[in-house]
Parts: sequence; C-alpha cells; structure tokens
Amino acid sequence: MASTPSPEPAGPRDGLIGAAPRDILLFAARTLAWAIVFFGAWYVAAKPISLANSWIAARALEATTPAGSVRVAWRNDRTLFEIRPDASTIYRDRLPADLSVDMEVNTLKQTYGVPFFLALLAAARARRIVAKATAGVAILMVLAAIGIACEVAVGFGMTQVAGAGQPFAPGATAGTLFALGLQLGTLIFPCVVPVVLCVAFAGPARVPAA
Amino acid sequence: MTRFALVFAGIVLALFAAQLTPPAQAWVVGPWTDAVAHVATWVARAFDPDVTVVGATLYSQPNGFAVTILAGCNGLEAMIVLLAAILAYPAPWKHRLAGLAGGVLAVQLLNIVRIVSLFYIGQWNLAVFEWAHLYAWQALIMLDALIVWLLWLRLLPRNPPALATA
Repeated sequence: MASTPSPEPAGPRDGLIGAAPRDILLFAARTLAWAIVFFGAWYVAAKPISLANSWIAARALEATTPAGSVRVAWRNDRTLFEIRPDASTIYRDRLPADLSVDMEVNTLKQTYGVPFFLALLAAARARRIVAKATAGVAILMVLAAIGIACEVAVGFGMTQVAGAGQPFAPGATAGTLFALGLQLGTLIFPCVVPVVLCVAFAGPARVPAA
Repeated sequence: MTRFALVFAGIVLALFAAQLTPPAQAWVVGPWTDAVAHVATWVARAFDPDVTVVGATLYSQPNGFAVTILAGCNGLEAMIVLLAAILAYPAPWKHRLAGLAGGVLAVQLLNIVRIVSLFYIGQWNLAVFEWAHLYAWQALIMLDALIVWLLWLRLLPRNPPALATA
C-alpha cells in the first residue's frame, strides 16, 4: 500500500498524544535528564521562588482571613509568615494590640511543580517553548500560592492565643475549603497540573498521511 | 480536547474529594494503604529480614527507624489521575479496562519501589529522605502515570467504533 509522505515528516518536535512507544520512552528519559537540571536550579533558587509565591499567598490571606497584614520572610530554609490580626478582630477578641502570629512553612512542597513542568516541557520539545514555559510557570506559581495560603490559613485557624482564644476561627465551609486547598496544593497542583499543561502544550503527534 | 479536559477535571476533583470523606478513608484508603505497606514489607524482607509492619508503618528492628504510609504515599492520587485520563478519553470499554488494569499495576509497582527506597534512604540520611519523599518521588510517580496513559493511547485502535460514528 503506497503512502504519501507528510509535508512535515514526524520528528522530535511532534507532540505526545499518539506518539510511537519509542518516542514516549525517549520522552521519559529526557524528562529525567532535564529534571536533574531544573530541580537543581529550583533548589538553588528556593528563596526567591518561595518568597514570590508567598507574597501572592500573603495577599490572598489578607483577602480571605481576618489578617490585617501578612509579611513574609525567609528563615531556616522556610518561609516565615508574620500575621497580624486586623483591628476589628483585636478589638472584638480583646487580643494584645501588638499580637503577631508567626508560622514557618516549607513552601517547596507547593512549588516543585515548576521544575517538574519545565523538565516535561523541555523533554516534549514543544514549539514556542519560551512562551509556553512562561505561561505554565505563571499558572503554577498562582496555584502554588493558593496552596500555600490554604496551608497558612489552616495553621492560623488552629492557633490559640494564651488567655484570648483563637484570632481566626473559620466556619465549617471555609475550614473545609482551606483544608481541601491544602490537600490540592500539595498533592495535586504540583504534580498533576504540570503533566496536564505539558500534554496540552505539546499537543497530538503528527501522523504521516496515508 | 475541551470535553476531555472538562471530564478529566471533573472526575479528578470528584474522586479526590470522595477519597477524603470518612467512609472512603475507612473502607478504601485505610485498607489500601495497609495493603501497600504489607506488600512493601514483603518486598523488603526479600533482602532484609529485620523489617516488620504494623498497620501502615514499616519498622526496622535493628535501629528502630519507621516510616508510616500516609495520603500521597499510597499511589491512590496517581491512580485517580490515570483513571480520570483513561475514562475521559473516548475509547472502547474493553480498552479502558485493560488500560486501568495495566495502569494500576504500573503505578503500584513503582510505588512499592518508592516506599522501599524511602525506607532505606531515611535510615541513611533524613535530608535526602525529605527531598526524595516530598519532591522527587511525587514527580516520578506522576511521570509513570503519564507514560502509561500515552502508551495506552498509542495502543488504542485507530478508528474505534465510538469515534467512527461520532
């Protein structure tokens, strides 16, 4: 049976869906190789990446919890969240005016999706890789920030101030959403979303026309 | 592609939320996690007779080191993602079931390797254990699920009946 060659023959820049088993296994091998590079770079740059994500998370916390201000800093290879309850909470619950709740969070748990995604994308050899990498990293950074905010909110909700109770007691619905966000932020966003983005960005493999 | 993405996201979110409920934890997640721990112990005992298991916790008798398998370490999340990807893609049910069987096997085999490796990495170096546990193995398990799904797609008939009539 004769076949007409495709104008653009199948090659290394083809997508993932429908790719030949050999190309899929090569993609896996390339991902492992690129993962060494990107995970190493991510670990070296842990501080700026974590602080950038945590800054977004701090703004989310200010919008969704009774936190008047949330400051972030880097301490002991962790991100330190310094939460000051808002004025109305301090007045209502008779909290000390200078009360600050400090929480250390390992934000790498939420941000490892970034090097994983970059390794997958580099291994997939997608076209317009810079634009796709930028878009994917932006999405992952926002999702990581949501996960971080939920983890801090859960911790903030369990904080007890001696003699003054809880500065933040979320309702059942809000508490469930924060807990779900915490779970998604550590178990789903950093490992599933990179895969989904990579498959979407790489697209289907071109099959030579019959 | 849009339909696939919506169905995939819907199944992932529904199953992920469902496995967090108390009944699912009691009847599915807990027993599954215990079973994973027992299989991992059985594998480890092939070369290390000093490994014991209680519930979902593996112990090393000589040094007292122990690891407990929790949510995120039992392979269920990767299985949920793979199941959602297979169900969301239009394919004959016979192929879906074969893909699920092969996928569960592939994910859980690698997950056993993960648990056994982490058990010994933890006895060697806790910093490396944390790195491998929290970041490296999470990504590797999901890469495994992705490779299984891509291979499954490739093995599908080129013109399945459901697609030919669409």
